[in-house]
Formats: sequence, structure tokens, C-alpha cells
Amino acid sequence: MLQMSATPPLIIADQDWELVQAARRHDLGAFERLVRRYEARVYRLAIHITGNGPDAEDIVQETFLKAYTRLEQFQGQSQFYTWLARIAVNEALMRLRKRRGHKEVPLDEEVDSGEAVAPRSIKDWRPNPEQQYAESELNAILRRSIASLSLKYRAVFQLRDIDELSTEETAELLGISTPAVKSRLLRARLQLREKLSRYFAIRRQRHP
Amino acid sequence: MNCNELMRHLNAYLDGELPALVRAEAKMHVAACRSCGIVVETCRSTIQVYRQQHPPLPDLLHRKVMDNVGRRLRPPAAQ
Repeated sequence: MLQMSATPPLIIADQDWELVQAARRHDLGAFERLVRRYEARVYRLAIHITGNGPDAEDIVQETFLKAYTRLEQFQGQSQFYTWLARIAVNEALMRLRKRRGHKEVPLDEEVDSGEAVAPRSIKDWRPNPEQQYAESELNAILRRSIASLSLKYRAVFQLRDIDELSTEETAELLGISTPAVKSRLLRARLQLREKLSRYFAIRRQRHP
Repeated sequence: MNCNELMRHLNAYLDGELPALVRAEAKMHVAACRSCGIVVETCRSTIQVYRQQHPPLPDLLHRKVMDNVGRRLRPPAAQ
């Protein structure tokens, strides 16, 4: 069995490393602190990828349970959240496959759908557009908008732009090439900004 | 740099990954071209608004997570 060193590898935050080590000694309080630190991010990832609240709840539970039982395997070669995200993405993809009746989830298709990259909506947004909506309304807008992207785009946007993983980490985690991550990210960004423009763009004044 | 070239470099421009010279050209184009300026700004806002928002965590979810883990901790005889 691989022994963990007492000094954290350079890449992982010291605090996470200490908590992981304590949790490996069955310190439930330490594990709970890791859960508190990352549960909202895992939930957001799960809800964005599946587009479904109950599935996302199951994914969060399964992710932390698997993380706990596999803590020995975490070697600190990535941030703890990146390791959690890998478990959560696998759970999410499994659920999507089940929901589609075992049909392959088209995450690894390299051929692009040919959707236009050229931006269509060229409208300024209001300053601080998010402040124009109540919290719950804004959450619904964001959730609806990302859910309407293809899985291959929303998964890349989630990991690269929301969770701030590197291109290489995203490629490795999704099992696709780095050029595929880059081209999908561009399409995801452009498509999402079009969708959000419907809510955030300055409306033209009507003249009588 | 023209609009098509900017679109080709858009990701790298947004992520600050362009070489200095290309970045300077892109910056000049964005400052001069209103359409590209809007696309760059609204892309930035799109990323920012998603990063800042967290869907509310369901009330009992934290408890359920910890209960599951706690059950795993108990020795088999106690289950």
C-alpha cells in the first residue's frame, strides 16, 4: 500500500492535506470539514451536468461516500476538489447513461455539431446584470441556460470555467484531447453568452 | 487583427494566454471594434456570473452525506 508522507505534495492546499490525513485515521469531524468545504461545489457541478436536482443530490452523496472509502487512493497529485470532481463527473455520466436507457452519452465524440461559432447577439449587457434578478430567479436562469447546452459543451464549461480546472486536467478527466477541450470551451462560452443575453442585454427603448 | 482573427484567439485572449504581441493586437482591435468589445465583455460576464453563483444546497443533503459516511464507519456487527 502506498504510504502518505506527512508533508503535503506541493500541489495540494495544506489545510486539505491535513484534513485528508485525519479523515484517513477515521476522524469523522475532519472529513465533515472537507464535506462542508466542497459540498456546494460538487452539488453545482452535478446539477449543471445532469440538469436534475434529485440526481444531483444522489451524486453528492455517492461522491463523498466513494471519496471516504477511497481516501487511501488520494495521493495529493491534484487538488482535493479535482479528485472529488473526477468521482462526481463519473457518477453524473453514469446516471445520464441510465436515464438514456444505456445509450452512449456522446461526450467523446470529436466531430463538432457544426453550430456556428460566430456570435449573433451583439447587445451590451446592463451593468451588474445579476443584480437585476432575485437570487432564486438568477439561479433558475443560469441552470436553465447551461442545461440547454449539449453535454459535451456544458461538461467542459463546468470544469474549465466554473471549477477553474486546467485544460489538461479537464481533458484528462473527460477522456478527450486538449484541442477538443479548447474548441468546445469556445463554443460553450459563445452559446452561453447568447442564451444569457436574452436576460441580461439592455433592451432597446421603444420610440412612439 | 480583424474580427475573424479575434474570434480565433478569443479563448486565449479571455484566459490571458496570448503571446504579448498578439495580445496587444487583439487589445487594439477590441478597443476599436464595438461588436468584438461587446462579445469579449459579455463572455467575461458569463464566466463570472456562473463562478459566483451556487445553487442552494438542499436542506438535508449535508446530513444525508454524513449519515452515509457514518454508517460506513460502524463495524459490521453494529450494522
